[in-house]
Amino acid sequence: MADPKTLPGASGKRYLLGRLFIWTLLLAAAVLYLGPIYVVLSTSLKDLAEIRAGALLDLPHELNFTAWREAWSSACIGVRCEGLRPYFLNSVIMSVPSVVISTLIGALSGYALSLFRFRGANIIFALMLFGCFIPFQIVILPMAQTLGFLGIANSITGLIVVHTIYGISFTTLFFRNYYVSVPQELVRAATMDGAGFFRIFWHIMLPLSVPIIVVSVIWQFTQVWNEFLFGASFTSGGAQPVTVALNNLINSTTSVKQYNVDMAAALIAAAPTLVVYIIAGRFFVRGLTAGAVKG
Amino acid sequence: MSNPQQRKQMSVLDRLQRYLPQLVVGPPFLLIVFFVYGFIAWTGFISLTNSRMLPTFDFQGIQQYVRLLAMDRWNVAFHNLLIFGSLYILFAITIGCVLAVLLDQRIRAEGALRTIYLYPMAISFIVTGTAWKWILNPSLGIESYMQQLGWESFQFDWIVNRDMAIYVVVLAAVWQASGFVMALFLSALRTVMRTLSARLIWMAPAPPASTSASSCRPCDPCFSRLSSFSRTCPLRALTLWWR
Repeated sequence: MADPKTLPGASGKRYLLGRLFIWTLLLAAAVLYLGPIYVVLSTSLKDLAEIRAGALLDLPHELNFTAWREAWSSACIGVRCEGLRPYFLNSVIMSVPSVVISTLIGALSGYALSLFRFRGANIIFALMLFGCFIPFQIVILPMAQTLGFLGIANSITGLIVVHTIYGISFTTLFFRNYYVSVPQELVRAATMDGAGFFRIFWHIMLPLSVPIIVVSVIWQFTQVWNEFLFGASFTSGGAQPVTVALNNLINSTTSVKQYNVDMAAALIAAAPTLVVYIIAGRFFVRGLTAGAVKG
Repeated sequence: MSNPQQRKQMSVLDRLQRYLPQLVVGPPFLLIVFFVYGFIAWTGFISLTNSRMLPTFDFQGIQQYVRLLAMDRWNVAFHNLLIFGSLYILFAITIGCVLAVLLDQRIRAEGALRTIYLYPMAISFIVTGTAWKWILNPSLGIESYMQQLGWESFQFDWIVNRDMAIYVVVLAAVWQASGFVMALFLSALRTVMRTLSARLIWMAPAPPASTSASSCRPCDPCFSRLSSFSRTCPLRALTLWWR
């Protein structure tokens, strides 16, 4: 690249005007993207009287965490008044095994599909990839029947099974595309030295795969945590994940609308994935672009 | 090794070893075949029967589709989907593309801005919906705020207006996804730029004495032999213009 200072128009009025224009637009966009989270956060820290006074964009008069406490442990969702906590725990119990199992399966099948090009490996990969494209509405009905048949309907176990299965397509995609750039000579040399399939996987491939494992874990965690359709369709009452509980809390019409509690609950439900994004955003973006077939 | 019995055992193990990749891919592949392809076929089959709460195998042809198409709710939903789909794609792509082009201008705070634009992708759409529902609440949200500021006639009550509510859904969805479009465009721009500069080094003709290579304007004839450039010229031209 040429040094920008030597490009025509790099100095002088026009350049400065251009920079000003760019920065104005970029900062305006940043304000628009940050606006909602600011409103939600400040509302969650206000008391109801302050909210009713209207000033949506004003900072709260004082930091008041009552709404947070209520959203976490005493807000009423349906007939239970235990706040989001039990549902939050449901989501944790649901996402940890789904993420671990689907990542492990994806790593193994991606490894087998990329470094052992047996006949039909590419066709099998293409067929498995199709699972990334489907809208999940198309499998809801048979899945409900199957879960009932297996005796795990309306349970967290059922959701773990569902999320694991529909995660395999993505994790296989991640690992297969990562291992495809590993030279096959590496595997041949290791085989020559007497290492078997699993030994090569465990001692050579896995240590090489840390970045893609992080991508896969973050992607799966975000997907499973934020998922709503399966949770709403296959569970009710005590087995619901946090997204469904949040929706029920927001749409409950029984008592006086407590907007601050709603907003605190929304932030609690969003917190885990937001934290992951802030800590490991780079890997999250890699997963997004690799899995760009589905938003 | 010399024992023939041993050699035979080895070959069974060898064969197992040889088919290990297939054996490992098999179970997840079968899971996908059953839970994706099988279930789609199952759903398709059920749609051709007169199943109600419980599935029956009473084949009815396309009668359910005829019923569905005649339903008022279907028409409303389909109409809304058309509005939502087209506007969502249009705005998400436009905004994402503009942001990517602007961010590609050697912005010092690029990393921070990118993080800000993309964070909505990390949260659940239930959370997004909750946030926007509150902001657009006519009596306590942005509408009343603007009126309190002194803009008495300000009105933005789309969320409670049955004809306009779908556009609010577009607003929230674009807010959530446009940062992602930005990230895609930005990485595409960077890839194009890398290819382009590599080609400039190896393929560009030596610049005439009077001009330097850097004063070669976009779309000038001196660029024309770069096939990758001609394809991306409009976009790059825009970005070079502001440089």
